[in-house]
Amino acid sequence: MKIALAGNPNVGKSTVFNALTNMNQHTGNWAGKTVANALGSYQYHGKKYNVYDLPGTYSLTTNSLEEKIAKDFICCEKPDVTIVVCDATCLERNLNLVLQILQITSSVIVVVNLMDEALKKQIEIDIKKLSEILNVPVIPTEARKKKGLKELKDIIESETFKNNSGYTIHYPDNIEKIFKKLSKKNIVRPNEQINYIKDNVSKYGEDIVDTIDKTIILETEKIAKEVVMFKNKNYRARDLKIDYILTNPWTGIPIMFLMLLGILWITIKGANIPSDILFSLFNKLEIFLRDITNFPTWLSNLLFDGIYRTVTWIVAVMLPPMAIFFPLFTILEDLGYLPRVAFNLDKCFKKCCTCGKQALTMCLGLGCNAAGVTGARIIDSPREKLIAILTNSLMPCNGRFPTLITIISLFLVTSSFFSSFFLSLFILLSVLMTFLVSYFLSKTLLKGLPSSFTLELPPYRKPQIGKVIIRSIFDRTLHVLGRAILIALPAGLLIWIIANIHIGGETILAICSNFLDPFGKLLGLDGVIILAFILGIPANEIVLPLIIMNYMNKGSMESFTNLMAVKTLLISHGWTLKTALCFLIFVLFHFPCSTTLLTIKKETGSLKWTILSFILPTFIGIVLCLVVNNFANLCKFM
Amino acid sequence: MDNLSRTLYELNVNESLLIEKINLDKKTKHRLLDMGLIKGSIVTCVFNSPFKDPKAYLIKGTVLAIRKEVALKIEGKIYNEDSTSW
Repeated sequence: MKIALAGNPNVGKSTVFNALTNMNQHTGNWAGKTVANALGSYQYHGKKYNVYDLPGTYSLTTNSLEEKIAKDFICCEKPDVTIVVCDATCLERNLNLVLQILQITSSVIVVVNLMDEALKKQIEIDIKKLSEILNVPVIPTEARKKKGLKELKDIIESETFKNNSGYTIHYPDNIEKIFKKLSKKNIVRPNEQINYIKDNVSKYGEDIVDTIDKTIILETEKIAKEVVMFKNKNYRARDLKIDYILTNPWTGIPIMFLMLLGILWITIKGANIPSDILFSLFNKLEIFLRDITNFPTWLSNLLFDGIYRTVTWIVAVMLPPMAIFFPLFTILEDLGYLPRVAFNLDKCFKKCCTCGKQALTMCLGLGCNAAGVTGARIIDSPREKLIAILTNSLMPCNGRFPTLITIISLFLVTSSFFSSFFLSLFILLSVLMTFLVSYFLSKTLLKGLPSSFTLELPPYRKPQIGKVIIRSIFDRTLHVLGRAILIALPAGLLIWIIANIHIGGETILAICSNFLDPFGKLLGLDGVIILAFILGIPANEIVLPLIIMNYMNKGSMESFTNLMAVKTLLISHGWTLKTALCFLIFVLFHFPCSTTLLTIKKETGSLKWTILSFILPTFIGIVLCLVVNNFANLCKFM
Repeated sequence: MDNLSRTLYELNVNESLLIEKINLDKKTKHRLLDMGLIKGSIVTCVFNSPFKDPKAYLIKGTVLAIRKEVALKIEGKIYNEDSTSW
C-alpha cells in the first residue's frame, strides 16, 4: 500500500515518518528541514506499507517547489491514503492544508500530533468532533513518544478511510454557480474547478479568486472554534518571555555570541582528555602491533607510518570534538533556537540584499557544508538561494573545527577558554566574510533586490536529550568520521608511496611540494601545506594529518604521543606564528570539499556556479594570506 | 478607540490590528494567506528583532517574522479587545 505523509512544515511529520518506519530522517525544530521526498516502509501484520514523506507545505495553492512536489504526488501518484499531520498547538492554521487536500481526495487520515505540547499549553481538542466534521478518521499522537502510532497503523490496515464521504466546502452562491457550470463542462472535482478558475482569472476576476481562498480560511476558523478549547488564554506567555530575551536589542546579539562561545568551549574543554587518552592508546597499540606482526620493514612502514598513523590521528583528533559538538548543536536545533538566529540577523542579510534564512543554512554549514547547501532549498528566491549556496563553504564545517582547534591551541593560546574565544572570532570572521561576499554578489553577478521574507518562529520544544545524543553520534558523527577514514586510507597510502618513490634522487612528494613551495611561501605557507590542501579535497579532515605525515617522512618526529610533539614537529619545519595564522585563514577560506562541490552541482545544476563556488573562497583565502604574510614580513623589517 | 488606519509596521508590541487592506504582490499575499493572514484577520505584534526589522507577529497561534517592506503594505485598524485570546 502506498501512503503519503503531508503536513505543514515543522509539525513532526518526519518524526511520524521515523516512528512508522523506524528510519532516521533528520528532524529539528524549524520549518523546512525535509526538502525532498523520503521513502520508507514498514511491515504490519505481514503486509508491507510504503510511506512517502512529502516536504512540509502550508498549502497547495501557490507554486513553490515544495508545494508542487507535494501536490503532484497527491494528484498524480494517487497514494492509497494521504495522512495529513497537524500540530495540535495551532490546529486552525493546519486545517487549511487538510481542507485543501480533502478537495483532491477523500482517502485521508488526519493525525493530530504534538498532543503532549497542547496539553502543556492547556489546549483541548475534541478529536471525535473533528472527525465527525471532516468525515475522516482523526488520530491523536505523540510521535516523539511513539504514542498513538498503533492506532494509526490499525486504521491504515482496516482501510476504512476508503469509505470516507469527504468534506464539502460551502462557497458563496455566486461561486457555487460557477462550479455548477464547470461541472457541466466535465470539470467535476473541487480542486480542478478551483484550478480552472485560477487559470482563467481574467474571465472570472481577481475578486472571485480572493473569495475562494478566503472561504477556506473562514471555514478553518469555523471548525477550529468548534473543536479547539483554549483553557489558558495566556499559554504563550513563557515562550514570549524567552523570545523577548533572545531577540532584545541589548541581550539578543550578545546571547548569540555567548551561545557560540559556550558550545565551542564545552567542545574544546571536553575533547582534550579523550583526545589525549586516544593518542596514547593508539601509540601503545602501534608498538604492540609492530612487535607482533613482524612484517618486512618497508611493509610495516607503509602500514604504520602511512595508513595507521593517518587514520588514528583522524580518530583521536576528530572523534571527541565531533561527539560533543554535534549533540550540542542538535539540542539547539531541537529547541527551536536557529530560527531566532535568522530573525536576529535578518536585517544584516537584508542590507546584503539576501534572505534571513541564509543564517539557517550557515548554521547548518557549521555542521557540514554539503548539508548547508542542500538546506538552501528553504530559500524561495532563486537568486538568494544561489548566494546562500555559493557562500556556504565560507563557514568552517565540523571537519575543519578540529584542525582549527589544534592549531589555535598549539600556536595562539593554550587555555581552552581562550581557544574557544579565538575560534569564535574566526567564526565571526567567516560570518563577516559571508556578508561581504553576499553583498558583493548582490551588486554584481547576482543583481537584485531582497525578496519579501516571512519566517515562522516555532514554539520552543524541550529537546529529548538522550535521543539527541544517541542520534547525533550515530547518524552524524560516525557518518562523517567514517567518510574521513575511508578517504584517509588511500590518501595515507598515496602520500607514503609518493614519499618513498624516488625519481632522480628525489621523492615524488618532494618534487611536488618543491614545485608548490614558491606559491606556498607567497601565502606565508609552504609547498607541503598547499599539497595537503589539494590532496584533502575529498575530506578536509585529513589536511593536518597529511602535513604531519609529510614532514615525518622527511624524518624528525620519533614519538607520536601527544599534541605537543606535533608542535615541535611543525616548528622544526619552519612554522612560526605567521605560518599558523595564514594556515588558519586558509583553512577557513579555501575550495569546498568534493562532497560539497558535488552537492552544489546537483543543487544548481550548473557547472559555472560550481566552478565559481570553488574559486570564490579560494580567492578570498589567497588574498587574505597574501595580506597577512606581507604585513607580518613588513613588521619584521621595521 | 481610534479609528485611524495604521500599517502593520506601525504597531507597537502587544497592539493588535484588524486587517483591512493588503497591498502586496500575488505571491507574498498568498504566502500570508496560507498562514491565515487575510482581510478581516487580527494580527498582534509580539516582539521586535534587535534592529527593529523584521518584527514578529502573532497570527492564528503562529509567530511569524515579517519584514518592514511587507508590513508597511498591510493596513487596518487598531483592535482593542483582549489580544491574548488570539
